[in-house]
Amino acid sequence: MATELWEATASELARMVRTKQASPLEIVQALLARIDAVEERVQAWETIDRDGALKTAPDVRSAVDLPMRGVPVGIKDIYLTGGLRTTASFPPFASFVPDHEAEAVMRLRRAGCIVLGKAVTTQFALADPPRTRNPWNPERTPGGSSSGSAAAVAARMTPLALGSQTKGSVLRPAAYCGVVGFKPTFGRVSRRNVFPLAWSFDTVGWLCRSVEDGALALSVLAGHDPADPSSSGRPVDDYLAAYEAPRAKPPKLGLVTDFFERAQPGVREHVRTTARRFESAGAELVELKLPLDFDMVSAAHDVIMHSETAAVHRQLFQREKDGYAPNLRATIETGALIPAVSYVQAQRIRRRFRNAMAPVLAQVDALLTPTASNVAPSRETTGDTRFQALWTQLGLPAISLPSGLNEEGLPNAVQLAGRPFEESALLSVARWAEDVLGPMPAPPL
Amino acid sequence: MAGFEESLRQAAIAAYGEARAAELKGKLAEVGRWLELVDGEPLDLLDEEPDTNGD
Repeated sequence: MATELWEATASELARMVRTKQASPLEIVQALLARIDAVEERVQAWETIDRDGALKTAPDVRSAVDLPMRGVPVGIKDIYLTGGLRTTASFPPFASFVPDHEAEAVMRLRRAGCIVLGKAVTTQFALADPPRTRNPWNPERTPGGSSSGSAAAVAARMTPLALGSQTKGSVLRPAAYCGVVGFKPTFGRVSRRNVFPLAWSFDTVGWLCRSVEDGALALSVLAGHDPADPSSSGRPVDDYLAAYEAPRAKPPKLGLVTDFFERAQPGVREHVRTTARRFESAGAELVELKLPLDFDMVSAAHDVIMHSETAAVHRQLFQREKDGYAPNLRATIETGALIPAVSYVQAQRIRRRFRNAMAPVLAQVDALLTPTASNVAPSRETTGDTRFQALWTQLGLPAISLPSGLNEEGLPNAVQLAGRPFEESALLSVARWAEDVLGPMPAPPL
Repeated sequence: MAGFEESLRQAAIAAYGEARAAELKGKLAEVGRWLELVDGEPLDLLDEEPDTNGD
């Protein structure tokens, strides 16, 4: 249990409000004071909505039976927020204040959350390095594109923040910053009024500090949105009940060897050691191979993503070319040159990959891999996307769990992925794994 | 590989000019490698429709 309000997880704060151990206003004041103390060193926020948060908190206190009453959240700055600046780190949007809001943000507000502000994103959620620092080491990247979201959660400036993932933009920053990153199945959570990057892959996800918080946020965010063409109509589970239910037995985990072969030695050894810890705790481990070539399906992802990013940005790029960051600009320019036939072939490969993975996923309760091939690298990059991208490509639910620190004091992490729309099963495995791994320390800020 | 890379380079010159195409040289080579990998994957004439996210 946290000793300071700003140290508490979202679930702990919600319980404190329900039992009147803390008021939403006290919580917001504590988090704003924490932001004042550490933000200069982390630079996680694009906009801090101090007045809005303080004004909202007393109203939230009077509400009843809201599952996240009084829980502060950060919102990645590609989500439209009504009345609150939304920049996507794109200079021409520096003063853009939407008059409407992303569905995911509305759902959080309706659940009782209090928006603290907008977290730094890489420009339009691609890969141009952000100004945000990794709370564990200011010379290292926090990852991207949900850079501010991950850094703010790690630095205890908010217990929860929305991110988004098109390749690896939730799970990788979570891994580099030592927090939990959760990405549900494609279509499980509405992405209406979130700036797109590549429609085939863009997925709402979030950063938090416990599996329980991952389940709590999913319980609020999941569900069909008829105004989002990508939103699934499949029924929603009781994710908190799935989280709370004790497992009948330890999970069967599939170690995907293709990932281990490509990981840096320190990461490979760490995740192998972690797998042995899981085995000692009762898990059954099996080694699995991807049914298709890792580099080929990664290439298919890149072809689809570059083509769609070029299409998304085509008209805005023609008007505002000078506002674009170098990496995104090059992606748009080269993506526009990819032949339509290659794009369609890449989507056919994705179909083949999806079909071929179904029997692999059926063998185990979850796939276990390193979240990233490396620990947080220097700030000239946002890191290696390959290990997160394959599960994004298939729309699988995935979660990154912090698994301790390496000899440099940087976070290690493991990634678990499950079957489509079986988030409940994945959360159950993740809770079991979290119990084995034990608590993750806070960064030395 | 050189085939895709060269065709991309020619397309970049036509679209953005010689100077910008030269600046994009590394990125064009990277995209060329992806296209080569995608193009080299044998696909079934009847069964392999493009993916639509599986739902």
